[in-house]
Amino acid sequence: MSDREIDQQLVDRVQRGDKQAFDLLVIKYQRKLARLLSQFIRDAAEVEDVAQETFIKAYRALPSFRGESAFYTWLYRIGINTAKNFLISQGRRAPTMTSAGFDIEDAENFEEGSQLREMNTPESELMSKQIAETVNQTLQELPEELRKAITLREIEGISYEEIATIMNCPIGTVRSRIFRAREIIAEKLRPLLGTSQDTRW
Amino acid sequence: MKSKISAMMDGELKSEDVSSIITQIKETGDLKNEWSTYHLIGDSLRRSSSSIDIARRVSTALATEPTLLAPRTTKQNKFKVFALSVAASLAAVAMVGWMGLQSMGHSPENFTNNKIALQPEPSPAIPASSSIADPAPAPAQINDYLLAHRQFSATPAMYGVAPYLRTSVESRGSPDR
Repeated sequence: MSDREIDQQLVDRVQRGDKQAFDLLVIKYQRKLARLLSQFIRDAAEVEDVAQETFIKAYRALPSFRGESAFYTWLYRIGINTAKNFLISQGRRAPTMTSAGFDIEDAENFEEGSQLREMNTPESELMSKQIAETVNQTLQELPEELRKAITLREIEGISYEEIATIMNCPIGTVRSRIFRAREIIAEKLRPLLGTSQDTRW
Repeated sequence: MKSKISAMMDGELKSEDVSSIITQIKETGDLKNEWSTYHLIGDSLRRSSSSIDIARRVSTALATEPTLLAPRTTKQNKFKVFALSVAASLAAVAMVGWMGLQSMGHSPENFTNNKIALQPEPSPAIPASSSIADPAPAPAQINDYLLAHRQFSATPAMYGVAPYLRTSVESRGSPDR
């Protein structure tokens, strides 16, 4: 089942009264949304507030979501509007999307957008730095075939089938290599994430 | 179990497994952490290394929100409506087609009988005659009858070639009598 279909299935559940399913969408998209919002809002705490407001607005509007666009496109649109309204309410000028060279079509691919700036409070910066360092260092230490598999998947966004062709192995092997790579990296991250226990589930 | 979460977030889990996996992730704190960490790893590898984690906050804020009970208007239902409308259209076309065949049901038979009656003569005007093998007897009375009662034949239902085919039969038949 494709990524978009899984989002749709989560949306279906929320629409049928399953609030917890919305948590999984928040977990999945919070960082991407925050990066998008940090394009307009510099302060990290404000980004968090606006991100939270975006998710709550999205939840309230979810009955009208019909699945014509992907969930994340719809979410990012709400995010951009929420950020604009926030800036106006603060008496700051909302950037026009076009003059920023940024509109919703870009939002779908904004992961590649190198122009996006990082959020920068010392605390969050330290944390994200540590996470990034741990992830990258562990990646370098992985056995060759695990590193290759997860890199092709997460960075290049290639399907299992194509990875199997590239690496000349069965799909089942690709599946288990990616899983093992994730588990090894997750293991290294756990102590780091454990420090903020209150934010864990 | 965890390996299924891994496959699911890559869009590589079989559809029939997805529903039960989502339920288990939702209800098991450990698996939810797994879902969270795997996504964090992915985002970190793609260099969106923000440390934001507002999922708890949002969840708490949503606790006071009314639970949604939206009418189901998802793609599945749309597909169902679409499928039903296609089925209805096909049924309508089939019905009309069947009625059409019924109303001209006699004409191929008559046509064949006429031809068989004419077989002794060379009949270049009816090249299909050899392909229609109807062993039924073709009494000459039927031809006479049909010639006399053209209005009962099925021609009105067939606006295409049938009138011409029968016309050629008539013209050939008449010198015989």
